[in-house]
Amino acid sequence: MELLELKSIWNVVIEETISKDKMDEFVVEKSIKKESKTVLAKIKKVMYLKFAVGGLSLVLCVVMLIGSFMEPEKFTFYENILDLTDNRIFMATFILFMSMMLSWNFRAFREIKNFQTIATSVKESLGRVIGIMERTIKLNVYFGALFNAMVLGWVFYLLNNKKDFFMSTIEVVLATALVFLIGIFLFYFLSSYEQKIKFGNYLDQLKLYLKDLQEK
Amino acid sequence: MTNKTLEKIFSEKIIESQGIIHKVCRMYCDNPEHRKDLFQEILIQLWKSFPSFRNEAKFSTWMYRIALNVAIQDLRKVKKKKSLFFQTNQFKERLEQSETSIEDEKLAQMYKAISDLNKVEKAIIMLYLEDKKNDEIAEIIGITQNYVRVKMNRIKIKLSKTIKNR
Repeated sequence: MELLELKSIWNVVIEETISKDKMDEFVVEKSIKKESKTVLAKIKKVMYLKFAVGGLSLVLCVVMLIGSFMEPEKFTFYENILDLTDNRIFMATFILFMSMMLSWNFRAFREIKNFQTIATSVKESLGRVIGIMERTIKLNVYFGALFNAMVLGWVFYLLNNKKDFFMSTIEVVLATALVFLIGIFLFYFLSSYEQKIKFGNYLDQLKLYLKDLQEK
Repeated sequence: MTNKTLEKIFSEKIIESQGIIHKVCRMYCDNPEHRKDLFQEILIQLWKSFPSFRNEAKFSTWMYRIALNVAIQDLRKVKKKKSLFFQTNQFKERLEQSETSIEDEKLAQMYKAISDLNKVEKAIIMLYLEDKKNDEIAEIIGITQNYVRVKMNRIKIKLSKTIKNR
């Protein structure tokens, strides 16, 4: 098939498609109210969930921490497991983690939103979507590893330390740090693997398209 | 400007240039269901980007850019199905539903030729079939005019090989 022949068939197909599937104002209005199903839209949806759960947890922890200074007897979290100092340090680490996670996610969210509202060339769009996805994947991997390692470290600490936080032995501190580091290492690989399964092939495909557009 | 007014302006402009969306969907999907989904997704993205359209580029260029970006970045897994598509009766059945009046053989040839191109090549050949000049193709794709010529030559070679191999 020569290009001219391809063109003539193409023109007929398009002409017929347009006349057959002609849309009106009603279809346009109905369609634009539907939900987007692109990969970035799905990532954004997960982010909404993170903002809701993370934001709520953050507020709760701040209230608990402030409360533990104002009325310690009312605001002790799991008093049979954590004493007052443990409780405050637990809340502080959780607040720090949540604040970091939320602020980074918010930046990524804004980046996606900006990207979705600007029309760029195919090459630029591919470059930007790859960049956004790589950063979002890194964010998920780092925070996934950090959060799980933190939980693991705290569980280990609570099981092994029966004294006050500042009275704990050097062995317990070192062992907790070691568990935390192993946790980071382990969960980093698990999270990376999970993200690779989710987006790996798709991202590789986009990179191939971008490479195809890079002039040698 | 209220949302309703914006919606009205958008609808009018899109209906006027709806051919662009149909062309992109036709180029990227041989499956009617998939085509419908892609059509809708393109409309959603056009609507999201509409407030930022500033008449700096032609409306058609703006539409092509968004529609092609959505089609190229579309995740739906249809590759495997597509390779089976021509070996099964599915294709015949589709044609029997008389989607077009073109001879089956020719339509099959067109889809076969197109299906061997990657998504970026499909974008370039589609713009070429639409008689777009190299400078406009370059603007939509984001490459130099010289590279558009190089890519077109490669696509032509690929297409002729595909046909010879049949």
